[in-house]
Amino acid sequence: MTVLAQPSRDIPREQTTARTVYPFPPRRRFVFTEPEAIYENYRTPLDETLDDIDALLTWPAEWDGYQVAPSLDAVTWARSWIKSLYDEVEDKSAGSQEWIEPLVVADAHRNVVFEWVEAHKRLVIYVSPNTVQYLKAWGPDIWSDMDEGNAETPDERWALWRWLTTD
Amino acid sequence: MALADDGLAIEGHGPVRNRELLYRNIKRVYWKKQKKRGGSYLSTQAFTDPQYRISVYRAALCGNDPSHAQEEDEDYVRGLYAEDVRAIDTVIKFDNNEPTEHYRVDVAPAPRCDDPSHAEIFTDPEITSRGVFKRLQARLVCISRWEKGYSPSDAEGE
Repeated sequence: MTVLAQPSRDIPREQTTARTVYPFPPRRRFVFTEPEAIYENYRTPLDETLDDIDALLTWPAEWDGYQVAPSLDAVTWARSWIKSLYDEVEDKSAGSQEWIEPLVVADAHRNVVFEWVEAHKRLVIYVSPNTVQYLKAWGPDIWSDMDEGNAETPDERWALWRWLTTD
Repeated sequence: MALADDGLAIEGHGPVRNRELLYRNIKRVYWKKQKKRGGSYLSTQAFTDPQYRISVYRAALCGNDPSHAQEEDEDYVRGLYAEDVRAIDTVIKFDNNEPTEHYRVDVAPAPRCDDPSHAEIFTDPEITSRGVFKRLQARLVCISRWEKGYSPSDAEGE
């Protein structure tokens, strides 16, 4: 049964004035010395990677001899691709695997590039507005120790993550 | 007169000798320190170029001074030998497991008007497939080393 709040019987309604003092608790004092720590608690490990992707848009708009900003379409697609991978790692591993933050850069053709190195394995993902491709390297030989292909479907994405994170 | 490691004289427009050390400027964004897991690594994109011609500087022609390669004071520098670059002579493009193109990796002088030490790493014939270049980039990371005084660990100790 729902009980509605009733006015206090000790103070008749007609006697309540603007000067009435209610017993509020003491005013809370906010401490602003370390707000970052509180903020970080609410961020997922993915957030840092998403920030890194957005930061690529501050790179030079034209090739400067060493770097160039990716296209906006590549950034949008890269955010979607990495979110999907993050969700798959969370769902499929059921907490048994830890998310590994990639290095996030852009290549000279304005694609977003994710890169992980685990032990002797290197996984490079190239996200263009139209395709997502990978390079796997597990040794120095360009032919026998490296492989490349597409990384667009959930199965392809998950297979690459499994390759990277298992012995 | 500038000399290579083998003691032979080097000229600005002359061929790059095998024992010559090459400097590559590395932007800090291409290096990652793994905060939680420890360790660090260099991106393959530290060796990128839209024309697939990677810019380097010949140590013997810039006083063996890695800072000559730096675009900005905060940049790092990697060193690699010309003979190691040329040893990547097995870059092959495969289609359906059949070799279709062979690329010879080389380094040659590419002097600029104000800088005779500039050179370029390239392939012959010119790369037409990004897949081939991706493999070459990964290999260049493997064969290059940080130059003392211009590495991330040196920068951390600043």
